[in-house]
Amino acid sequence: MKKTEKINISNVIFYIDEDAYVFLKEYMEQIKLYFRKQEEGKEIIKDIEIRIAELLQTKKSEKKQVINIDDINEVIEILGKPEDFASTDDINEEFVVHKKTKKLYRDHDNAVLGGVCSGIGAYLNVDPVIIRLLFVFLLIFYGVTAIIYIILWIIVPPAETIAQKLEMKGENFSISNIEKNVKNEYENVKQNLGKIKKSKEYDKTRGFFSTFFRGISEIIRFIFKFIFIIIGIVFIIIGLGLVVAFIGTLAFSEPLISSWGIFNSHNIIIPDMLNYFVSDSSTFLIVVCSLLVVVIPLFAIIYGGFKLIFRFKANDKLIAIVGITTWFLSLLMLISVSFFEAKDYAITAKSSETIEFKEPTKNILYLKSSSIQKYNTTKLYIFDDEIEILADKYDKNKLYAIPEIEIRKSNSKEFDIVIEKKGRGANKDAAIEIAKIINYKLFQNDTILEFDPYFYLENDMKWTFPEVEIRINVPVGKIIFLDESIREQLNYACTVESIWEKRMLNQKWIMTDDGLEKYSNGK
Amino acid sequence: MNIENTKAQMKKGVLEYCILSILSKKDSYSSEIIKELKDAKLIVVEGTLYPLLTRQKNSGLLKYRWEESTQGPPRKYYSLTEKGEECLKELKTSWDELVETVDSIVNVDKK
Repeated sequence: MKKTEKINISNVIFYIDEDAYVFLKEYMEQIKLYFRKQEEGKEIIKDIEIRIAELLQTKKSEKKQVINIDDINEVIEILGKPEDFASTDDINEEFVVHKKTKKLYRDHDNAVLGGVCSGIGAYLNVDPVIIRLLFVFLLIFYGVTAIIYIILWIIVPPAETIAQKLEMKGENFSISNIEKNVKNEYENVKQNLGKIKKSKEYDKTRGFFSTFFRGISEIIRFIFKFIFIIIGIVFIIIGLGLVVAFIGTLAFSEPLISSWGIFNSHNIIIPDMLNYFVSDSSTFLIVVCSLLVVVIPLFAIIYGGFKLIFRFKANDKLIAIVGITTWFLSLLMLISVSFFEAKDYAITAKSSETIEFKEPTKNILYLKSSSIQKYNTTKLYIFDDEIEILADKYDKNKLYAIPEIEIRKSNSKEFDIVIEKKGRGANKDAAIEIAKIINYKLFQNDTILEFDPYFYLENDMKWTFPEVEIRINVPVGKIIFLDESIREQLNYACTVESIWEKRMLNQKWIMTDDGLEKYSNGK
Repeated sequence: MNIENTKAQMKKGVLEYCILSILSKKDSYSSEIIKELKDAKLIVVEGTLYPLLTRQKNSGLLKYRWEESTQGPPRKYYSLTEKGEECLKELKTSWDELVETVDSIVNVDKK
């Protein structure tokens, strides 16, 4: 198996072995360098390229698709090296090969541990043994050296191709050098094969320490790989878990992970919930955008995990740009939709009405709620009981809310009952409009005042959190009885001694100048 | 003295004359010219020819046209210009003279 490059010479595509490619590239560079000084240089180079394409074309066949190093050698033989032209062409007599810049690589071929020292040695043109001694020396006095070594090991790339090996040594890229190296490479491969066959002999020649360190290096490498894989798996598990939990919350109102009660009828799925408060199109946008906002980072985590495990190549930059852009757009959209929708709740308007009330024939007024059974309500929970809403059992689009009852002292001699309805809207008119369609009723039957337990909006209007407040002003000296059935509605009562409203139920209270006081028959 | 160098210099002198002669017979593309010169052992490597052809073209002795090839990239077909033909005539005269002169010297030596 060999790595192949795809190249284009004079608009003809060739597949070419990597070593052959390096060879050809270097040859072309030399040619370019040679003709660079001549004014017609570019044209000559172009002609030569055409010729190379022509010659290589003849090397291709059905059976042999890929250009190898022998083909390149042959082509170079036919065309000649710049040194060969020089004898017949005196313009560029002093033909110098340009120097390549040196680069720091790890030298695997001469490695004891990770090839860091031998790489530095090659870079500095110093015997790697000296560098190694220096490292060991420093290691004795400064433990940090080990970390530096490991960091270098991780960040410095190994010299793998012939070109990289030459770059590491800073050797000229001349044809002969490449040739030499290509030959060396083959020798190496042959040797390596031999080594595998006679690994015992190999051990002897390499020496104990070398093998020992190689073993350690393999173990360290393995440990690193292992750690990366573990991290990757953790990433994937976390990412997938959160995605499932989030989608669960969104679609089933349940983070599926914690409990699998998907079909719990008391739970309401979030899109349905949103439907109560915002328009259909906004619901869709909110759901999609929040899905993207949450899921994109999670996917990034999962992707990172897979990358750590499988180390595949991908266009990460593009993926990152697309991901981040989508994320920001979704966030922006979410914010603007929320803002747009929130406008509908901006203004609050009240509409108050005083209820016509006949003074009861006796001194006492019973406050009770009409039968809850009249309403087929069901409680719906969002976020696992975090939010509770009341809806009609058969028409989940119809929401109910509980009115609040307040009991105060009346300034006159008569009972005075006021219902205050609060609506919210984008402007005052809209708010009042909402307040008007709040459906809430009271019934009086002499000494009994019966409340509706709930109020609702007519016409299935969008729920803008309307409120209903019933103020009952009790004249001094009158008695009221708070029935158990108004437990949920009773919100405030003006009393002499402070007492929790729920404790006042099922009892008679008499209004005094300072507020309600417990009434006992005997008194 | 480097004898190889001298030989190369001698060959180089006549190379331009030969290229013009080849093209005077028929229009050719570079590979054909190369083949002929190679057969005559005037050049060893093809790379030598390209600078010569380009230089002759630039000084107005040659012109070229592109022709599609059944395999590989299109080919540059070279042909002589009027100026090239004049140049060829001139070179031919001086070459003949040169051969004659050299011959006379060399042959006199032999006698």
